[in-house]
Amino acid sequence: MQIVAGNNLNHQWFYDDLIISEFRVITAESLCNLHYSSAELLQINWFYNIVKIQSCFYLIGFVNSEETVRKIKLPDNCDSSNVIVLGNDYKLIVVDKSLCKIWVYNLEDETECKCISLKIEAPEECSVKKKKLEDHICKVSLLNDSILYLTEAGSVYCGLLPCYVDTTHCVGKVIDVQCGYEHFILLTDTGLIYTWGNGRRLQLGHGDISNLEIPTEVEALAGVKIIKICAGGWHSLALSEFGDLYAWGWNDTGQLGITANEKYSCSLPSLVDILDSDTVNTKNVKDIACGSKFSAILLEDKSVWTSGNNNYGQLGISTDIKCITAFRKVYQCTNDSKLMCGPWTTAIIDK
Amino acid sequence: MSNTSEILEQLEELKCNVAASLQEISELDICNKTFLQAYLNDYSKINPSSIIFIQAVIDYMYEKVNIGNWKEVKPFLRKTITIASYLKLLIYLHDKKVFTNSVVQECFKIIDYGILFGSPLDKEPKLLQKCAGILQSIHIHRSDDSTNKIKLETNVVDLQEIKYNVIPLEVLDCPSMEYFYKNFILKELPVVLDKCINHWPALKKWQDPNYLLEIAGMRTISIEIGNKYTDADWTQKLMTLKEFITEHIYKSNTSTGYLAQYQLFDQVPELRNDVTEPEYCCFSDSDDPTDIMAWFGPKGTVSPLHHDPKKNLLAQVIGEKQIFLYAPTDSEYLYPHEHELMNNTARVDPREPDLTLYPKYASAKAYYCLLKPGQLLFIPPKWWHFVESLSVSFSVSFWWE
Repeated sequence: MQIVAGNNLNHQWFYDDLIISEFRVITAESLCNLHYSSAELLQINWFYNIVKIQSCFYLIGFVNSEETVRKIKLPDNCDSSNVIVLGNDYKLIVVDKSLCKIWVYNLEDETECKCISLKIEAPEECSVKKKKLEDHICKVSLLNDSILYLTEAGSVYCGLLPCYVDTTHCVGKVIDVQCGYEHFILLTDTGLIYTWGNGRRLQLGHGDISNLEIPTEVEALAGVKIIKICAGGWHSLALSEFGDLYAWGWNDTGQLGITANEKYSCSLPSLVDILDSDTVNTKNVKDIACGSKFSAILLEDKSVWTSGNNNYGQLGISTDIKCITAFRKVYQCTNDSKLMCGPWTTAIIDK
Repeated sequence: MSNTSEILEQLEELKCNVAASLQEISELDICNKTFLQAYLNDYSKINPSSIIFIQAVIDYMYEKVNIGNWKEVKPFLRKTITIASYLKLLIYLHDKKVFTNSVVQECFKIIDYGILFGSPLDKEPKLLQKCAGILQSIHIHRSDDSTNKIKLETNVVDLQEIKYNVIPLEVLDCPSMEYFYKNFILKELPVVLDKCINHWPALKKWQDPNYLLEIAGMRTISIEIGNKYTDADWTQKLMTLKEFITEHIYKSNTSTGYLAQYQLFDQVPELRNDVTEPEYCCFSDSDDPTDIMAWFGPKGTVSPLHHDPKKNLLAQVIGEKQIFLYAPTDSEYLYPHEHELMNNTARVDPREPDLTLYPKYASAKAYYCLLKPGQLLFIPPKWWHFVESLSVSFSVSFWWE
């Protein structure tokens, strides 16, 4: 089941309203003879979603001036169970995980396609061993023009034409990567996080506005084991093993959710208090997600809380409220759920 | 009273050129491009929900232009904001019958947002300025009935003798072009020039805030809030010129607001007619046009000690400013900030230099002037300068290479 609030400008959620300002269950039973109720939501973009239904991938939303659904034709010999499909406003990217091949399709003209092979490189220090590495892509993070690839062995590559990112100085194996509009976050299995990219809006969390070319440890969180990371457009969230939430970066619309009535941006990770009217809610945070200028979190009692920009109803509350600056409870789930956000959308999905 | 259909007709005459300029945004994503195309080519596509969609296009492009350095933003993204703002204006007026004050105000808001964040189309570079001109015709018409006109306050400059350890700048009466070129442009030395802009209509007209309000009161401008841009709580805010004048110029109990380094004359061409570019700006090494900026604020606005890469003639139109200047060779005595974004700004406050923190300042050679209405100050490239307004002040700067 998908429960959604926010941008429906291209009817990607099948409702007629352009804005869904209160959480609604997506009820499209059948769509062009597809069983949407069994759809797995893979990515929410600004004008389309990518879903997988019974081993086929579909683009739903704006396809062209007439159509709203397009079946994504996978490259020959591609096994649908072994690919990652993602997109941005211009391109659709199909990644064969084990072949480490990347097909880049032009959204405007599907016949235009480039195929790129990701060359698995050993870090320079190891290259003397001349060992050919057996490795596979396991995760791709894509937002606007930023893209990161992560391999099973924990190597990170950046860019549409993948360039190796040196993470040999990072403690532990890299287990997750996240892209903001112009910054990057990685998480290692030791619970440490590293950031790099543009820091002009404080999104790197090192206490200043410097840009960083190499992944650099967020030292303020060194004593805290982080288990999940998330990048918004210009802000970042981290979830600790104890269910604590940390936020930093740009806060121009309250996306950090840290203080009622204030929009001060944070150059260092700030522990976020979840407030039930005036008392601190001590329930643990279970899941986190970010849109371009808002954040959503799920607590252990299955309640969903949001903060930040609400111009398009993405917080799940009436668009009369343009933004809120502290997390507010907006929905109570009954099932075990997880969160996924698009730039202006929040989705609650059954686990 | 003019009804909207006449105005709409005039605005729509520009549509042809806007449609032709779609090729300038051919790089835009297919979704946004398709919608802009549809709206421009087929009016029947417009319905009550169009305003939501066109606003979403603008909001989304605004997010995109915030990615990376402003100067490196791809032009098609900003051009899309221009085209979408024009369309939003048409869509907004589509179901309006008459021009109430609030309708005109909203129209100017749409236009000014487009001017601030968009960029000129090759096919119709002054598109939004033209739209504003068309709307201005009704607005001027209606402004007679505005009831609470603002009275001009005479600004008494605090004239206690200011005792700084400084060298007063030379003041010259309208020197010849040759003399100015040889002694100041070539030698890169600062100087105050008197009686060069006596013919500017602005000197008289701008003394009356009602004149500014009549021409541009409804226009949205970007105001710097806070004492100086190096302060932590410094920020920028969009507001109308009317709000700025009533809330910040003639009220001292609010935070300092400053219309600083602002391209007001590009946005409101009527005001451009009140000033002329000084002839001295013709000594140029490039074909780029001179950047003309407005600086309008209450008493007490401060531009911290900094330097700019271009030649600058600062014209004082209303009120007085005190300015401290230092040669580029004095940099090490002024303690510039280290961060790359701030290294053209220095830490020393020339009004009360802290010699324990900044001991080397003792070796700096400070030049000083109190700039009066009708005077021009020549600031050579890279010369450090600190500027403070001593009264309500309106200056115009001319930057050229």
